[in-house]
Amino acid sequence: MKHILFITAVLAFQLIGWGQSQEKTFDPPTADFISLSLQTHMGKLRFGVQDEYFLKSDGTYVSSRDDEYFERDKQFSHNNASRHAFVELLKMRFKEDMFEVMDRDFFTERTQNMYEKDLKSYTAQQHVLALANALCNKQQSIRFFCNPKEEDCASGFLQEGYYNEPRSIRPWGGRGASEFQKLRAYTNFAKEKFPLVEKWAKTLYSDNVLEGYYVTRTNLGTYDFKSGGYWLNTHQFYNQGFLLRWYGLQPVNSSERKLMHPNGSSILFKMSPEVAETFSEKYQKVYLVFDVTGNLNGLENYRADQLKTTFSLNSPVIEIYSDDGLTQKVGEINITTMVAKTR
Amino acid sequence: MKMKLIKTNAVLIVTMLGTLMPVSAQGQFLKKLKKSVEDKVVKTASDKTDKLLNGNGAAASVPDAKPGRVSDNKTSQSEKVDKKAPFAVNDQNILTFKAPSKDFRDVVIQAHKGLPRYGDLYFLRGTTTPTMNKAYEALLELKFLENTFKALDRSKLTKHQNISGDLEKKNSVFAQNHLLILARETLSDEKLQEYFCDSEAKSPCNFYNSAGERSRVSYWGGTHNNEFAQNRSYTKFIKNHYGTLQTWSNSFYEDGSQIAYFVARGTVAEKYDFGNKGFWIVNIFSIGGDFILHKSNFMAYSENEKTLKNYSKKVFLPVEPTAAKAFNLIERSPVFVVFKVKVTPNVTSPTHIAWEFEMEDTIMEFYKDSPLSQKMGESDIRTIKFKD
Repeated sequence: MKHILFITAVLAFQLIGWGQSQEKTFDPPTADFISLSLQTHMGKLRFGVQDEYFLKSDGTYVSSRDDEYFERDKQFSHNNASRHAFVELLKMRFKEDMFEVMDRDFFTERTQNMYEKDLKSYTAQQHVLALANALCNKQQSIRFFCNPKEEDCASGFLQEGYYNEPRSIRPWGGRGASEFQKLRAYTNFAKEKFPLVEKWAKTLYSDNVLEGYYVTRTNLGTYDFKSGGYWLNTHQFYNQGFLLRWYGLQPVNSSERKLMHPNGSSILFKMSPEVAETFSEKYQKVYLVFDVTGNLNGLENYRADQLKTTFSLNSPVIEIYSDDGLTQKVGEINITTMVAKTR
Repeated sequence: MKMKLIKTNAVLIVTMLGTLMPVSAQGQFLKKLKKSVEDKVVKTASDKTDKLLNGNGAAASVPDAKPGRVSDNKTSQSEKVDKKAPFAVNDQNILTFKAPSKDFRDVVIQAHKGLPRYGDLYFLRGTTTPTMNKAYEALLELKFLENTFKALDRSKLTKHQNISGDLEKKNSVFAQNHLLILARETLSDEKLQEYFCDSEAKSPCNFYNSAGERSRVSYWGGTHNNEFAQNRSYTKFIKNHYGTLQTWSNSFYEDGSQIAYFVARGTVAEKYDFGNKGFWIVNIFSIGGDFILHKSNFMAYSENEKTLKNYSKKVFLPVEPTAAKAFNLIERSPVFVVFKVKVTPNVTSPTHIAWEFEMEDTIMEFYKDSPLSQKMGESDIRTIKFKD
């Protein structure tokens, strides 16, 4: 009896693992860089809201006492670093004019009044620093970003299995590095590694078109007994996330326009009151999945340094899930037949 | 006064039962009688036109036997001969909505290429054809605020006091005010005397200002009249004309929306750009008139539309250097930008309609002048260039 229980437990555990989609890996051109691992859904890239990995499909969270906690934590670290590096690589194609004039021998100083060429070089050097932080593996990170005179490079650096936090940008040469150390680190990277980065960036979706799924999430809100369902307000859809934003959706026909009405529209997620009562006790949020084609349209501007992206729908069907792992499908809405209202 | 030409009831009915108007907009009973009166109408109409041309001047046009919309064709031009309007261009730039009966006057608004012109208008007193924008807007509101008008008290004027809290009374007050505007704007001069001039007044009231525009219309029953006379005037109007006005209003925006031209006024932002060969235009939407449409109700769907609406960026108009020289523009010269739009009413409260509009065509036309006669060029919103 005990035996059977154990086997079912193992099976259940594995099912949770299988439910999650395989990630798409981008191998680096050299072992000095990290590989990029991006989330997918049904075989295509996943944009917008990402799987946080810690939510189990039954609605509970993986706690720090669970065995799988560190595994999930490392997976998240890798994915987080990958997404950041991926975007940094994609941005490069829109800064070609800057990399062309980038000074690879000396730092370009920032001053009050700069010539266009110097401004470009300065901006490009900032981008190279970001790329080096994002892409270097542990060994190379120590080489470029650790100052052995000030810090303990062997132990105090990245823990095994963890990746650099996108927000932490270490300066060239490490903490307290002299101007000689700094310049050496920069020029070494710029000459040895940067050409590889440039080449790699060009191999990624060079036509600026990315097929995939856009995921957003929204609160269920209050059940509407008259209409028999929940009204999902498009203005409350989560608008951030990986690569694509909700407001980047470009409507091409009248039903898509209804969905993207500038005043916001609410679409009805039908559910019988009996189902809704138990459902709402368990879940407060739902995840909406759109089959999309994403487009890279350049950079917002110099200072914002953000990718401009838009996307269009490949299918009128919105899949609805109750978990961020997209394993528990709870419904579908077809936008050509949906019930919608605008303010 | 001048329109006392037609007095017999027969003619009155005849004019009411428009013959050439789209069937959908007319009542059922009109259709039945249509055939029988057709011949009479043609005769009456031409008679009236003759009389008009023989000396009835600026006051108002004669109600014809054709309610509904007549675009800038020969008919409206021949009727619109106006001593004060020397430019033929004006006549082509109006739309005339024929009065449903001789108790009303035609509603005229400005037009561009045969469709209503909204936004920034071209108005020059004494030069451009007088328009009845208020009447037009009031008729549209009569149609789309129908739920509010359900609360209309037809038997008496609702008092302004004691209406707090009761939406029905509030709506009735609003509806009655609205009808007052409609009556002032749409009634024929003859009927205006009847409803807005004290019957005991020694001479007929004058409802026109020195420029020949109707403006001095007081309250029901005329100035200084008591509440009994006011109520009599109001209820009589309701009894005789409310139904006609409702039917008339339904002939506007026939399928619930309207294709129109939205004219925005921008300015030349800087000197001619030789590098890109064109002008940078700025401040579109922030200056200029807002007849029916206002920037805030521009439904921006694409990224460029959103940029145009939400950021005060300069937009680019390609113009060849030789052509640009001929236009003779300097910084801050006005430029008129024309959008073909689809207008849809959104009733946001019992008393307010937001006229939402989206681009019907991706082409934006740029003109040098307000009458829209000198076209400078066009840009496509899908590919238009912006800069800060």
